[in-house]
Amino acid sequence: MVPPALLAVAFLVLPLAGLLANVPWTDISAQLRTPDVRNALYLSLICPIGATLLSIALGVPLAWLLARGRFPGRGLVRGLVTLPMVLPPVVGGVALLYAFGRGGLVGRWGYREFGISLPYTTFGVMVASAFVSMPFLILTVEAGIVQTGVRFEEAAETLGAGRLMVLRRITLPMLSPSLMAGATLCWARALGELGATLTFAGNLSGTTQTTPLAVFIALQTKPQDAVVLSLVLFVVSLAVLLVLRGRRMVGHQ
Amino acid sequence: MTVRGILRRSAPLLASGSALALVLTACGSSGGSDGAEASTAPSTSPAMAAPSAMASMGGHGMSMPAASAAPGSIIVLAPGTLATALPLVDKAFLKAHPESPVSPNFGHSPAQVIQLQQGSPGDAFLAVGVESMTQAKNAGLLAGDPTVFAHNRLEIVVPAGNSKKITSLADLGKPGVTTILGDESTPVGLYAKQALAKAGVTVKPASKEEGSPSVVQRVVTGNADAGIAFATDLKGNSKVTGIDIPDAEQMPAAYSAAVLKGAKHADAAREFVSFLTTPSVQNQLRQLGFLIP
Amino acid sequence: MTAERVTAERDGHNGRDGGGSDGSAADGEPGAGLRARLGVSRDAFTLDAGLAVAPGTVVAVVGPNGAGKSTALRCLAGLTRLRTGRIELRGTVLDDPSTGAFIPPAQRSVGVMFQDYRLFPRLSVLDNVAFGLRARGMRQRPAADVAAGWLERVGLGGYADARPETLSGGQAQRVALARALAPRPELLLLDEPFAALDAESRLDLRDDLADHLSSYPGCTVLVTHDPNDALALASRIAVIDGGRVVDEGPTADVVASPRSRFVARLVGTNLVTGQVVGGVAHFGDLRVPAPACADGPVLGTVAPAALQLGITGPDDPPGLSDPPGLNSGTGDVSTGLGALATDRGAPAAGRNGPAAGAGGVCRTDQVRRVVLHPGFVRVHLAGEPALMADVPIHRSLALAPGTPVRVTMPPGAMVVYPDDAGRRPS
Repeated sequence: MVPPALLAVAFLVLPLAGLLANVPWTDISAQLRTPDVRNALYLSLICPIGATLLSIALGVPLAWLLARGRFPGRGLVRGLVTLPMVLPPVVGGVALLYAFGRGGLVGRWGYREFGISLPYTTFGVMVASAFVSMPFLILTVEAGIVQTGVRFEEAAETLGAGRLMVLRRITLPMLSPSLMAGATLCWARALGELGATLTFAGNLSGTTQTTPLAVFIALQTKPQDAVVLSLVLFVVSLAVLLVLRGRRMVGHQ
Repeated sequence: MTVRGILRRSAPLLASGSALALVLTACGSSGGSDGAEASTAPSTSPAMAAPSAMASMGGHGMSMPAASAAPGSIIVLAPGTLATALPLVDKAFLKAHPESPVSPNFGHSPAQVIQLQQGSPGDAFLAVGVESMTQAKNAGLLAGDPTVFAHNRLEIVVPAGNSKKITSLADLGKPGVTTILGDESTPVGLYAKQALAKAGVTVKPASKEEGSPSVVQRVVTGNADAGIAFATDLKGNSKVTGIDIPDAEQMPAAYSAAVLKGAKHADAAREFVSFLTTPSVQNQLRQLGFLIP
Repeated sequence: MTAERVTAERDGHNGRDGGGSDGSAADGEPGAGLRARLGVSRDAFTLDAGLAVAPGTVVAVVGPNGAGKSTALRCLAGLTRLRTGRIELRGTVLDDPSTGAFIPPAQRSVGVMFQDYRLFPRLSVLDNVAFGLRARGMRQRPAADVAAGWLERVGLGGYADARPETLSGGQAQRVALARALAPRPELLLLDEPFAALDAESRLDLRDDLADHLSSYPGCTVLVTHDPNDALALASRIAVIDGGRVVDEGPTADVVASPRSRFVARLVGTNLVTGQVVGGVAHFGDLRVPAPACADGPVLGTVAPAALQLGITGPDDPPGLSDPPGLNSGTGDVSTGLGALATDRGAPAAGRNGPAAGAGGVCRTDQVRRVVLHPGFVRVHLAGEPALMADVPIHRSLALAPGTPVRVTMPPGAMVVYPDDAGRRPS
């Protein structure tokens, strides 16, 4: 057990070490101040949050129906909505174009009637990220709802609690751990999202070029920039994980 | 209690797992800065993500990288815009030299120079644009001087029917025209930028794609009114129309080939590079839309 | 609560409805308690059960797993809607599919103590108990005061700020009871209140619960699979099997002369079905004198401890050799159940008419299975009808599956009563 486990640790950690070894520490602050890098970091701050909020708004009700609803084809629906998890993100981006692009199934109508067009917009980035990351939220929250069951809600009802009170005092607090977990997964997936965004939303500094896109583009010609941006992503994810772990430890005491 | 326990136990695992994964995807390609842990096989090489992503986006069928090459085959590093042409050339070359099959490895020329600097194997280097070839030469990667074997022209690509009535580069700067350019890190983007500068047109692109095929794809899917791409990338595509850019504003891209210093099959590579300028190959390239010197 | 008090209460109850066999305690006082006819069908399962509970009394609903007990409880709580039938509590219709009347759980004056207690994990013990009061509109401060009072009553005054997960099983059960009772519901539903507890704390908590129930003025329905719960807490028993009430009546009567194999097994007695022809009851190859019974279907019960086993040699013709009874001195070795079985002839006979004073009966039989119990061994016999006999451990060593034995039933050991379904609710 131990040697393969150590090998796994080495396998997962060595690339990070390689990354750190190549960081141009001396001019890192100068590189972080270029407009393109700042744009990318700003978009990587707001887009994953937007994608997560979008996923919560639409994904939690769906998770609820999948967990509690009794309708034919529930398994099929679950399979379909989790498909983006296994779909190559680039394919997801193409699929999004065919649905919400200007020539797409829905996008055509929206563009013709209202002049709405998702590609090349920051909201388009959020949509593309939500497409690939929402399934993580749906599955996590659904599992949470299933595990929690209706037991406590029933108990609250028999004690005279109306729907609103059950929701506020029982359901939401019970769901908050899985909601937190699902939102974290969703956010993390959205933060690293590249393929679907590049294909669907495009690549323009300040509008659609998130950090992973900037890394991808910079790799062609300016690997040093890519390393610096990757380092920022690395530090941010590490910080988020540590904060969450810290919360959990406090919760255990 | 159990519910929370399970969630607490599983959520961080999932979360940390995926976060690591994203760090890896985001950073995995960055080993390409110096030789510290340079990969020796192209299959694990930094630019892997680039051609595979591009393949799906541009719709080109790209060959597998050289790792799968048969022993004795010539590893040819080539730009994505040759993805259609090169297999045809390879076939003809194999007929003349059955002992030397060619395994092409497509990617961005600048990225491939970095790969080669990292020690990736290769016998011949085909580049679009003089910049990458010059860079390779300056880095001492080439055995001998490069040969220019073809040129490519920029064209304005518009949807078939040209609903926005675009006739020149100047039209691309008009309001209400969604224009797609290549990113300046790619030859098509660099040349388009220079061509626009020549024409004195300022364009605010909706997106900067990472390659000429992706620019064309934007127009094909109806998500752009116009773009600037290499002529060879829209030849034969019925969904788009190419609009010529006059010579005065044109930035012809030179395709050059050279044998690499680290070539394992230097002789065969030399044969292949000179094969590119034979009349039959030149004719083939012309039919595909390339300009022949 | 002591055994005497149980008896007294039960007797008092019997007195009130005159030991009547109509089976509906609340029939005489319409609108006073709970009257329910529960009809639910789901997949292959159908529940169709009548239930009546007078105020201040406890009715135990017993039955095997899957019999429909929990479904019945859910219907009463409003968590499952009736398909047919009607639920009426103190004159208010809670559910009646024929008129469409339905009062949702939150608006019913019903308290439920769930089998797994379902204490809200994110609330403190005090907030759990106060939950129902707050839900019904009481302000924070008074609700907390009332809840604290309830915690005192169940002996958990010091646990107000504790988290439910830190409580022991018994403490959690008491919090659940306090939470259910705090809003003063008219109907209290207890679902297997002791199932989650170990045997030791079960006894103490049973007494505690009996105390709380004795001062509770509303109707209580107790679902349990343990006859001891029913004996200690309930004045009446309804036996549900296959979705139907197969037996109903005062606890003592139901236990003493069971009409269902389920109850017979619960109380650990032999139940046999047969026919009386000309003053003799025929139970398979057993013939028991039943001079007082009219011809027709009858039931017979006999305590396993009352049967005597003798070992017969394989070649001995039955009746020729007469080894000393293995379990002579039955009364000394019998357990509480055994004692109960012996005692109950009289009330059963009193209620169901004359019981047969059966004469001694003998038959040869074979051991099918031997099961060790604390203090005695229960021998399951292979003959028809199948009987069980209890034997002291030290006399059971010669018994193994297949051992031929002779069973002796002393005169008067078997109680025979008509299987006229007279006690069942229509």
